[in-house]
Amino acid sequence: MKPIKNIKNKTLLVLALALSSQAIAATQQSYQSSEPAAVSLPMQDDVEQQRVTYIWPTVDSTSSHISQSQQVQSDEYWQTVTGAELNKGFPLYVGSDALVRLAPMASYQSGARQISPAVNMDSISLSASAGSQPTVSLLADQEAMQTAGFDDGSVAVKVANHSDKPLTMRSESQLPGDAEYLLHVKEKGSTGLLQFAVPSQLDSQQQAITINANLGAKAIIPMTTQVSIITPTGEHIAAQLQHNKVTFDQQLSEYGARHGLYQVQIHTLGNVNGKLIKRSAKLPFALTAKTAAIEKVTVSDKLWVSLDVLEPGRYNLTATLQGIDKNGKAHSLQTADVAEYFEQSRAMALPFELQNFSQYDRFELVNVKLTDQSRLMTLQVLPQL
Amino acid sequence: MRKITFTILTLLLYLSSPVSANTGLALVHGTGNPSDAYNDYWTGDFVNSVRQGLPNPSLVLVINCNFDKYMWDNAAAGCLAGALSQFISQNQITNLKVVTHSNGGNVMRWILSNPTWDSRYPNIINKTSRVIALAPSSGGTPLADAVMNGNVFESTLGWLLGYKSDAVRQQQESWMVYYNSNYLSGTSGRPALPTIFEAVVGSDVDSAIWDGDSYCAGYQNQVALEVTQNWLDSCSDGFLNCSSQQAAGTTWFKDKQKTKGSEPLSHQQSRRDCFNLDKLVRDRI
Repeated sequence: MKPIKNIKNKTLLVLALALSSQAIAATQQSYQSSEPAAVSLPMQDDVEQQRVTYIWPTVDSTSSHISQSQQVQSDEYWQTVTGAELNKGFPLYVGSDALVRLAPMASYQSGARQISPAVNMDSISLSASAGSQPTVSLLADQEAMQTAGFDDGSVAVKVANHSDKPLTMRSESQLPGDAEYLLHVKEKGSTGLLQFAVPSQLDSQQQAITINANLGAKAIIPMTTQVSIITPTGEHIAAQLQHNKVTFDQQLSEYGARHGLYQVQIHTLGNVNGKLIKRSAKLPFALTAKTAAIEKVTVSDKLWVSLDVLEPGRYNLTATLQGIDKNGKAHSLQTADVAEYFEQSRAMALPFELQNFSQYDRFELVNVKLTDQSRLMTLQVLPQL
Repeated sequence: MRKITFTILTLLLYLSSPVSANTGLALVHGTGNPSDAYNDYWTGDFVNSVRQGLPNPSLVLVINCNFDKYMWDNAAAGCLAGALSQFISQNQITNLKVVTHSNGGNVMRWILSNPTWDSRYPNIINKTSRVIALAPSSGGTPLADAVMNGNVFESTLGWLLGYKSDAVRQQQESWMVYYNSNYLSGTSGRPALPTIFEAVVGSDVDSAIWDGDSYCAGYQNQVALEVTQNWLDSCSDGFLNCSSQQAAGTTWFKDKQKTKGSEPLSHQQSRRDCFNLDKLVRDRI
């Protein structure tokens, strides 16, 4: 084994080459353009204080550590309907075959929990405005739903709509007007799908999130679409859809994923193959802020990565070490994680034993990811350092 | 000659050391906060059958942690790490097998995916040679979404999911996509897990009243899971779609491929001694 001293100068040289000025400049630029974030720290007891390193048994060959967006396909919708709406009759959007669940909701008024009266499915009528009437069969009555764990007074039916128009759902027995019910319609196997995508992270400086939503093959219609933001604690924040951006007035304040995720919720109505289709979907995202950033890499006896730390916390760096041979060919050698608690900016050593790879002319760090473990936020993902 | 013989003996002893490795087994429950998972979650019949597959059947740990919390919480993964670390050190375990059920697979996968989160994790990872994930909720469940979507009753589907807890939020399908894409390893396109993580997949629910197999793990539970299956894919165990169970790691087998009588395993049955599941796991550890 060669002494560390022998490889030190060589490594210094090769790292200087490997750390392209472009990568460093990009890192520093993004860091400098962000304002320091006012980000609270979770309770110290919940965050590991020790330095922990880990060399993975296999080298990570995935090209990216983080997805930039989340996407979902929805074959269902849900909405709240009132007793007044049920008494009067309201449109039930069923393309062909659907499972329909109706559940009494609870609400809190003057500190007391008010539970809406259960609905007997015998008293609910479903009708078509023209043509063949729908086929309705009981899937599960209250007792069966209770056995399955839906102990909220739910009932469920299977509905087949034979017309092109929405059905009308009506209660034949008079319900309290202010009673509230959750209506959940699921159309398994439907081709009328809502395709919905949102970014997985939102920078705290932004008050708009870009969405991509299509119903069937067409973009959704803003006029018949409602959006909202749901906080990690389940509160709804009013939002507006402007073109493909969801904007909201209220400042979001829960950083990272540690205490849950924010969600964008969408309800939309549109025409798919001549039928009105209604769909709902929700997708999560994390609010992020720049709490630390990679500044530079230096070498003494080890590889050191300097972090600019804006907020105290525990930071993890994942990186794969590549050795470049004399022919310029890159060889992935090891993937490692290292995490330490930082009160302020400083460097941390990566656990690679460079003296074990002295046959290589130079080294590179690839697939680099900086994570704020205190708040569970991904801060930087760099293909190469 | 004596020197050569001594060297060979030493070499044989060295080579045989993995055989004499101290093998331990941990059983990790799913969502919930049990105080007696041995009896209430797994049952003694299942545990005592599986443990017979160990060289020393006494080296078994049944976990009781709070998996109503997010997987990374100190009460969840922290509690699991504490129990496993103590088990490993007190019994000098060198080879740890872990059997998880449902959301327990996610908590174990958190530890395997985030080795520097907690100073106890690396030793646990290094000792763990195999995780058998029974019906893991790796991709979440639409039933969690059904509970969260507008329903303010906290008890809905509580017997399956817990009570509108962090664990229910976590197991919504889109949330698991987020975690799988960002913080968990072992799914498609993501870094590999550092050890074997193999799933047993439940694909259907039988609840025919005349069929004795419907009574394993409780007939009422089978009837209940038949109802919930309506909101799931045609391939599901009444709580999870097969695609969710197969989202991470590898698939060891889909129930009917190996169970006695090619019976399906419902979500309730995949943690009980139904259709030789216990013997299959016993022979695998």
